[in-house]
Amino acid sequence: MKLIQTLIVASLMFALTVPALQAANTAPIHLFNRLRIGYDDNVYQGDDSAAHPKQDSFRIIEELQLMVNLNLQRTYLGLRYQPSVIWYSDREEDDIDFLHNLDVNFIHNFSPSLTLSLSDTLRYSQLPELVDGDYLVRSNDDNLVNSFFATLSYRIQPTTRIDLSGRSVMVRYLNDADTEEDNNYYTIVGGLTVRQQLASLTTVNADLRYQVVTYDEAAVGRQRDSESIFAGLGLEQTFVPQLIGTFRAGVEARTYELDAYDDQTEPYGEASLTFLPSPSTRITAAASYSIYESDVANYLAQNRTYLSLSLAHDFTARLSFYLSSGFTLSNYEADYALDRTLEDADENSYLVSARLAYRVGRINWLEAGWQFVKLDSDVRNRVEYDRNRFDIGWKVQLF
Amino acid sequence: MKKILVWAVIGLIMGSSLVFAQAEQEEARPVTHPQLAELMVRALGLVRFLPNAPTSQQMFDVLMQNGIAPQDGWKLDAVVTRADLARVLMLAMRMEDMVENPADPQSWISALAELGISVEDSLSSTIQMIELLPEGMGQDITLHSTDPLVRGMDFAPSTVQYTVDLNLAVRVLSEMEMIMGEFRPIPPTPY
Repeated sequence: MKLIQTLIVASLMFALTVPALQAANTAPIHLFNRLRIGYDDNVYQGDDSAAHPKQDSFRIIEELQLMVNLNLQRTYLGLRYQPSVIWYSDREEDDIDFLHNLDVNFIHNFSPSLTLSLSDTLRYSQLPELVDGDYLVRSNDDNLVNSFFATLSYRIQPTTRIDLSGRSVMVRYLNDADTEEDNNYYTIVGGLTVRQQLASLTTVNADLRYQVVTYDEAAVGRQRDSESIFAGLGLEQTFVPQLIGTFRAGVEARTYELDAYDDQTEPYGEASLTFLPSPSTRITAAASYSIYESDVANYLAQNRTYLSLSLAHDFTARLSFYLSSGFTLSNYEADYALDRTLEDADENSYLVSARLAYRVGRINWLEAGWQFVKLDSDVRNRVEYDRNRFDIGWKVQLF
Repeated sequence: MKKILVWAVIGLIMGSSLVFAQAEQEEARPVTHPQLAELMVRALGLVRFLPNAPTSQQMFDVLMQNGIAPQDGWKLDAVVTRADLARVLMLAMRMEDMVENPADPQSWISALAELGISVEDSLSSTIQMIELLPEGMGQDITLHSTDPLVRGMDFAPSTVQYTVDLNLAVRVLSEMEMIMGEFRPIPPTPY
């Protein structure tokens, strides 16, 4: 019976994709290669103290990108697979990382009013143990992360749409150490969204979400399992032809599996703006505040504030410049610490990136980039650091 | 239960064929901006920058982030004109420097015609001439989203280093950030 079901599903997928291949006038498959040579001034992210000295290194990054883009009248299939290898000239104990990223998007319009959207994101990282003298910089961190998302959208009227959605996320470390297993978790989310277009420039929505987070392999007393209910309202507004904005706000009520911790009820909010001051310049800005999964193992959650600002400018049709910045303020409360000796703590992280890209011909690009990252933290045992990375690279479209 | 699900999917797909066959027999309606934006987002390979089942304005947004917009901007209920289509296609192909007079809508149509693409053809066949954007970009919505259906899930926490939120490094501006996994936090070292 399983074989029959598998064959039916395979036949359906085949029936959907073959016409797409036949109908596409342009090649649906593309392959890019990107090679970069760079310098990293703080490979281990040390704070330049005697215990954690900075270690610099040259590095080479080789990355392939296979893209499939099938576009039919009723069906869309997008696939992106990107394997990468990074080699460091001066990094003990292992000088190579391997990363694999796979993104799949599938959309099928059953009718003009009913649409199914599926997407899956898979990340597999081979990150070997790193030791710098007596200091463990990173344990064996091989990991697998998968996020699957499905939405069924039904348009009741031309201006009214209902979305029924589900998502699952799984994080698995492939090292069997207890500290790793404490961090394995999965998340299930269900959601309902109602959207109403009010005019040619405005859409409002109301949404309801239910989320379960389960640390299924954590040791007793270290489970950060939780259940959350979200209720919110949203607005999408085109202010002027060059300015579009999205806003969302609501309340999250979170309950923890461990009885020792109080329930948490917090507001959340987010806003993003995209502005085109001229046809060749784009500016995007975003801000948000919410309860978020903790970056620190000994806290159940963080209250996270995030701000970002980005600029893209085309000097010519061939020469483009990109500048991006991000700031995150993470607030950890002692009331939600697994280790009761911990105190309230804040962490600030900063990111600035710049990149210049020049299209040499139809299929070749040259690029130069710089990235700066800085971490300021009150969290006990955290090593603060700053890190600069510079790269020059060549990207080519092979087909 | 599984049988019911399988047959339901088959029924939906077959039913959808009938619905679309009927729709095709109906009188052709003018194409709207949301319909054009959906076609463009798919043709250019920008779907991966959007949340699942994006709204029309989210599609407008990602197109604007790639510098693609009609002269008077994207509107939810506007009908696509020949000038809109020509402008959007030329911008999508990064051929705007071929347009002699960008302020003149006819100039965009003429420039497109010089490339052998006619806006008189059917919209879907015209858009099939477009290839995906090799340098496509989009603001990573998982960074700032508070929606658990959308937002990025933090990787395992750490008390040591490599602790900057993974997503912070993934800001997409044309894959400017280098390699995602490098920022993955590491497990805590023993106290």
